[in-house]
Amino acid sequence: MSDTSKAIVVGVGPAAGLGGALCKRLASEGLHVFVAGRTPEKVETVTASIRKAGGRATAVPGDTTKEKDVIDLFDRAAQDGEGDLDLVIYNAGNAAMGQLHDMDARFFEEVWRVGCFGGFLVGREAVRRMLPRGRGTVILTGATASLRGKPATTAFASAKAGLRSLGQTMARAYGPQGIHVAHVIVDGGIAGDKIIQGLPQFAQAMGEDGLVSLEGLADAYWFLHKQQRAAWTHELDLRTFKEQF
Amino acid sequence: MSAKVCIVAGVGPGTGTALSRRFAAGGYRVAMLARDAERLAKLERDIDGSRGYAVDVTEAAAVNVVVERIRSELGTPGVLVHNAVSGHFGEFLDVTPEVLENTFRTNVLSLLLLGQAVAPHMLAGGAGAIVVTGNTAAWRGVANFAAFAPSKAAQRILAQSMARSLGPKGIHVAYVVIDAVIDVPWTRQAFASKPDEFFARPDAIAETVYHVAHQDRSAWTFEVDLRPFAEKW
Repeated sequence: MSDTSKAIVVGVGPAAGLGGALCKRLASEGLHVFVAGRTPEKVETVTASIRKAGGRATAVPGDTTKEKDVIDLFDRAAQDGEGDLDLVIYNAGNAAMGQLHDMDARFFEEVWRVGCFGGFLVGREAVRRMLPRGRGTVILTGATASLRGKPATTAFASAKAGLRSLGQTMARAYGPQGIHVAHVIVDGGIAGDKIIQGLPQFAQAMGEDGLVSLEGLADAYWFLHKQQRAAWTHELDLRTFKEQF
Repeated sequence: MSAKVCIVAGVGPGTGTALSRRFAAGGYRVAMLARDAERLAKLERDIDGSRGYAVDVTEAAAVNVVVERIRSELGTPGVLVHNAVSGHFGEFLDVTPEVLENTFRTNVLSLLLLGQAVAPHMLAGGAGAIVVTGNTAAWRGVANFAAFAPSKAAQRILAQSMARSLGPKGIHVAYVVIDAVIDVPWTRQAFASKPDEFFARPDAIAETVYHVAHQDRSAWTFEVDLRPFAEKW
């Protein structure tokens, strides 16, 4: 493959999860993927499976809410291997539930740090490094909660709405300078281990075809990255055909 | 296996032509719908696998006849791209009832008519895609779009209602919001001083419509915005 560009995916958990699926897809398209996530074993597993399949990948465990970790991640991506950084995906965050009246202040802050603040750190670093070349793609993963708050999503929806707004400001600021910033709204549960293994009852209740597929999501992210700059998308929603929305 | 068939409703020199080319390149037999028979005849010669159908898509009887003709001549359409548009500049105090009615007929009523003519056949086959091209007037009413914006907003909401009704039955309905001036001869004249990157290229728009029309049903998009990178928004 002739593509020598690099990608960073932040927020990689299980191999059968959105982060893992994105890493594998990008590697199969020929990109060198920097696999970033909090749990070393998980990022190592994804990295190993990419290499086994003949792709290029580097595991970079770290905490996306720590400024130094994020800068180190981008330094690592700049130093390792051939090519330029063309794509950065911010996929960190988990749908932590809880209602306002019995929520710990620390819980709210933690959900915000992963869901929004980490996006700021990663987005800022991505833009700083892409601006000199005047090209690159930054994709943020959003959720239904990016658009509306429900009682149980007090913390999650606030964080996700913040991330969405951050993405919009980035797109408006840096689009004219050649950087494509997109926000993907995943409207529904994802057919990955987090739900299938972690919440089997929920997965069952959603029924056949009730969860958004990893392949479909990876297709959409890849398409956004490949869009010509003569017509860029900022926001894309994705759901299964069965979803009542 | 019969050939894939796509209807492109509203084929002007810009997006409609680019859409017809894109779907033809993807192996579709493309039924091009427009009022201007001469333009269609020229495009027919130009685009392999295309056929022009001169029709007024705001006339219910004509729409039903043309869809039946397409089915017998090309096959049952798996994709409908609704790109017919009636634009109008004018502020609130200048809008006449006729103008408002015309924008609604072309931008909203024709979607209902075409959708109702093709959807039952798609439902029978258990699959299909209906993609509607719109623009930011669907989101906000600026002062000089007093007649145009309400029609696009209504078109978007009709599409959303169609998506929720037809989606679980296997038909993908999507709305493309084009936030830009599209690169066609008349806009080049009207914005003669603007650089190339000011304009959204029809072929790039067509690429996204094509992608959306082929998304796997496990991850469908309803709404997608498009703008050239240099656009201020």
